Amino acid sequence: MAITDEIVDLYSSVLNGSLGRYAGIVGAPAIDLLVKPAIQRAQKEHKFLEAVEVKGGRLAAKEMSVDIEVLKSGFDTLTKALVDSLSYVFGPDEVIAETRKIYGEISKSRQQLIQDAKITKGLPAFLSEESWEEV
Amino acid sequence: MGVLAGFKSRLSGKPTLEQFEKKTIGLPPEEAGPKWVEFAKDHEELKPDDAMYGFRKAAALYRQVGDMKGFVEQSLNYARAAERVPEYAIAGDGFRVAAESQKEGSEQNYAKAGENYHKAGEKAEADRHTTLACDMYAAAADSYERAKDYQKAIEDYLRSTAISERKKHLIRVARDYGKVAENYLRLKDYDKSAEFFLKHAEAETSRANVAYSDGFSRAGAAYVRAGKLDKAAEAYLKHGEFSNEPAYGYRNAAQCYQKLGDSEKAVEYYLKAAEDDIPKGRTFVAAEVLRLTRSVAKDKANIDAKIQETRVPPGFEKAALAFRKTLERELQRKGLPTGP
Repeated sequence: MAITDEIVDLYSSVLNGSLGRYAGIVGAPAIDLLVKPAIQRAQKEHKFLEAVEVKGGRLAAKEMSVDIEVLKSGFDTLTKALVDSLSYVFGPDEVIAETRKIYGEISKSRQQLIQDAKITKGLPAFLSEESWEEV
Repeated sequence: MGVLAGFKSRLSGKPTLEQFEKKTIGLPPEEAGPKWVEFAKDHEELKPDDAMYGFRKAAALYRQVGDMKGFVEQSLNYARAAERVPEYAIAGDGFRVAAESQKEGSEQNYAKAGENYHKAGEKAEADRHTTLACDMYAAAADSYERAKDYQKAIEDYLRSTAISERKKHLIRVARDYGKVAENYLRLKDYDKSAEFFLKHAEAETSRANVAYSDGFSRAGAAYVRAGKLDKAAEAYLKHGEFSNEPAYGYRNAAQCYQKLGDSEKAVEYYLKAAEDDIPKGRTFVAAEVLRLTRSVAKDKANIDAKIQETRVPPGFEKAALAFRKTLERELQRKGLPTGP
């Protein structure tokens, strides 16, 4: 798998973990509705994210050919926007703690990628290792 | 024996940096690395600049072959040699990469990196290299932050900001105010944190000429923690005003007014929150916010009419229930009544 595909896979796994958990609680249509403005906002900022959609409470990404740094920056924006949207309904404490836990589990088996692609550099503060308690 | 004679005798028979560089060309990195360490050690006492170069070269070679232990060891060696030269920015780099690459002693190495970057900042400022000084103070602050010395981090971010403001580097000003706010948050000085989140939001807004709402929201949350609900409400209202998702800001402001006992304002902003949710299709959210508004409102008939208009669409009952539970938890945490 190309490094860009691995990066997309890492972010998608984290986001799908989080979206899936909340879709399980309130149903997939409510989640699709809830995160739609966030996705549109992120797409406005990063054109390549038009290849991304949330349907049935899951994030699906078509193939994308962009530079690694652009890719990371776009997915960092998308992650923050999605977590913000979910926080709107489920509360920031709960959503941040849950997403951080999912990232922790998923990142365990992908340390090499995280180091090589310097994933932690641009990661939203609430996911990075040295983050503090968010307000 | 004179100083020069002693110097010559200590290094007699040893190649100069240029000669040694030529000698190592073409050597595989696993062989060249230890040779550069040897060269650097020979020059450590008398020619620290050559030693610094040698250790740096060795560190790069160890990294190339994936020997991270060797890389960290030689990075620390070049950092110490750089301190003696003195080349504070390089010393800072050495301690920083060692801290990044090895968990053991990481905080101490970050603190050492902070000290050296700080000195590099002072020197650059004295030499009137203002952009470099700004970079160095920001690097020092970032290192102190990672070393968990938040007070020193704040001081260096403020030094960096003072220069950026003079030079009108607005991107840096905005970034550093945000960092100062986050570090005050870590120190649990919520008043100061809120003050700098506001400055951060205002700097972002004027810099990018676009409304910036994140800082206002975080300022509001910090004021809540500081127990200043009136100021928190003001900050949340700014969030509501500038955000693409104003409902969140208005709902938070309404909660602050509810806690302050100003039910008129609480109702006004709960209604504004609900008004933003309806066109976005979040009727399950709007319905619950309206139920909450009813519990605060004096004119309940008016709210009842709105509740009638806003029905939870079929299939969204689960979502509405989950939102209600979250809202109740949020209100309980803030010491507010949870429903009619």
